[in-house]
Amino acid sequence: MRVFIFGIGGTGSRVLRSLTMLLASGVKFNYPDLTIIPIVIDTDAHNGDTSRTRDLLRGYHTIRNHFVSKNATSQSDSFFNTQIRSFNRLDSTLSDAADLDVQFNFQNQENTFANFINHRELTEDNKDVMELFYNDSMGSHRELHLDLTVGFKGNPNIGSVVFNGLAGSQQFKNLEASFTNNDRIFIISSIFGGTGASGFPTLVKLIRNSTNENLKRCQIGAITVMPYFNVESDDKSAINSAMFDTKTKAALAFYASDTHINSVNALYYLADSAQSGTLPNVEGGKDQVNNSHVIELIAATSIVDFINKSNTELEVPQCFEFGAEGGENPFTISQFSNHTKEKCIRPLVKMAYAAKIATDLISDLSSETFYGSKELNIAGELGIPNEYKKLLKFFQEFKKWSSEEMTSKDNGRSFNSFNFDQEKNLNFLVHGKSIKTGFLNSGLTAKNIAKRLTRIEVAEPKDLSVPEKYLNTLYKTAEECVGELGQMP
Amino acid sequence: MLLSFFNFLYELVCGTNPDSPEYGEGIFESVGLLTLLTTLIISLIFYVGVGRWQNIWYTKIHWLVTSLFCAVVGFGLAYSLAKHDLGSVDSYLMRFAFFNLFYAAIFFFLFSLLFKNFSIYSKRTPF
Repeated sequence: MRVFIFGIGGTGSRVLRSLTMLLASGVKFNYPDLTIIPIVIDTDAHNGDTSRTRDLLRGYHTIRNHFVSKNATSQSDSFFNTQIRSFNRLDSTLSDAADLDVQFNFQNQENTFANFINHRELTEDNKDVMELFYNDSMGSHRELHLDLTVGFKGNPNIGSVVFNGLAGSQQFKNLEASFTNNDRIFIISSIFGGTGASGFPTLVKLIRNSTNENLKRCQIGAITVMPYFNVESDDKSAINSAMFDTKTKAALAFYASDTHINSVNALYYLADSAQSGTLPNVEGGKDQVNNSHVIELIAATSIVDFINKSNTELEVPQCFEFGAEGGENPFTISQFSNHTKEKCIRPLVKMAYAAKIATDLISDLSSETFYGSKELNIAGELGIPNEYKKLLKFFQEFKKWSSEEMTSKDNGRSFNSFNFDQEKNLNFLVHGKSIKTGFLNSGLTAKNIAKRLTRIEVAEPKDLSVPEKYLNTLYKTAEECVGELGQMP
Repeated sequence: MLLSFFNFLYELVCGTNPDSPEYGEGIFESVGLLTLLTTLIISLIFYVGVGRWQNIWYTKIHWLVTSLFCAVVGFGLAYSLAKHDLGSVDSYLMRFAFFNLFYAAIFFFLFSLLFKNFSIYSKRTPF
C-alpha cells in the first residue's frame, strides 16, 4: 500500500518532520508493504521549516538505503523500517538511489499575486472586481501585490486561487497517472494561516474531481491543526495571533458545508488552548524555523492511526479528536494514553536511547570489541563515512527535536520528554521514570551499555553488512534499555 | 610421547644436563605438563569464563597482564618443582625456570588464538 502524505505550508512541514521521527524510530504499521510518499506543498520554497523537513526526509532515505536490510518492511524490528519513496520515482522498477524529491512546485510562483492572475491583461471591469476582493495597496498589508515567494502570509483567499493552479502542474498530472486503487492520501494542514487553510480544501477538491477514478474515489485522511501557538505582536507583520481564532472559525464554517471536505474518510482535528508562549513573528522565508511542538507530534500520530485503519473502517467519513490522560503544562509522557504510549512513544524512547548511545557514548568505547576494525570499524566510520555522518546528524536532529525544542517555554505547552544532558549515563534519560539502581546494579552506565553492544554485535549474522550490523546492534541495545525501563511513565 | 616432547622442548633451549639425569627422567615432563595445564586453565578463564560473562577483563592490557601472570607462574612452577626434586639451585635450574617463563607465555599466546573465537568480550583480544 502506498500512502501519499501532503504536508501543506509551515505546519504541514513541521508535522511531516515529526512523522519522519516516528518512522525513523521504527513505528510499526498493519500493512507490511507500506510505502510512504511524502510531498511538501508550499509556495514559500525557501521556508526554513520546509527545507529542514526536506533535508530530514532525504537523510531518512539515504540512511534506510545504507543501514537497513533490503527486505525490511514496516513491520520489521528496526529503526527506519518503513520505506519512503520520491513522488517523481513512483515506478517501482526505477532505481530509488537518487536524492529524495519531496517538493511540489507551483508554476509561476516566483511572482506577485497580481502577476499570477495576469491582472494587467484583465478588462477594466474585471480589474475593478478584483480590487473589490483584494487590497491593492502597496503597504504592509498588501494582497493583490503580495509576493508569493514567501507564501500567502495568512491570506487563504489568495491561497485558494493559487492552489487551483496545482491541477495544471506536471507533478499533479503524474500523481493522477500513477495512482492505483491500493493507494491512500493523507493531507496535513493548519487552519489558522494562509497556505494550509486554503490548500487543504482545494487539494481535496482537485482529488475528488480527478479524471482518474482510483484517485477520485480514494480514501483520504486529513488533519487540520487549529491554533496551538502564538507569535510575537508586530504591527508590520501580516501574521497576527489575535486573528488565529477568527480565521479558524471562518474556515471551520466553510469546512462544515463543503461537500468535498465532508467526503474525507478520516478527518482529525487538533488544537491546544495553552498558547501562553510566543514564537518569533517571521512571515516566511529561510528565517521561519519554528521549534517542534508536542501538537505536531500528536498530529503525526494521527497519520499512523489513519494508515492502520482497515478499508472497512474508512468506508464512512468520520471525524476524530485526540484523547490524552491529562492536559498539564508541561506535557509529559505519562499523560499519553496507553495505546499511544505503546504504539508511538515506546519506539521514540527506543530511538532516544539509540541517539544518546550513538552520539555521546560510542566514541569513548574504543577499547570495546564491537568498536574494532574487524567488527563495526567505528574509527573508520563503518567504511561509509558520508552515510555514517548523516546517521549521526539524524540522531543529533532527533535529540534537538525531541528535547531542546519540545521543552521550549516559547511553545506555550512544552513537552518534557528526554533528558540528554546527563554526561555518560542513561539512567535518567526518560523524563518521569528513571532506571532502578542498587548496591550491585549501577544501571545503564557506559560500561553496561558497552557490554550490551558487544554481546549483541558479535551475535549478529556474519553475512550482514557492517552498516546493517551497526544499526541492528543499536536497535537491540536500545530495546534492552527500554526493557530495563519497564513500563512507560 | 609427552616425555620426549617436553625433553626436546627444554633441551632445545637449555641444553642437556649430564650431572642431573632427573631433568630428562621426569622434571621436564611434569613441569611442562603442569605449565601447559595451568596456561590452558588461565586461557579458558580469560576467554570462555570471564570473556563470555562480563566486559571486566578483556582488553589488550588485560591480556598482557594475564600473559605476564602465566609467565611468572611458569617460572615459579619450574623453579619450585626442580628445586623440590633436586634439593639445590644451580645455574641450569635458573636457566630452565627462565625459559619455562617464555614457554608459559607462548602457550598462553597459542591458546589465545584458539579460544578467542569462543569468547564474546575478548573476541578480538589480543588482535
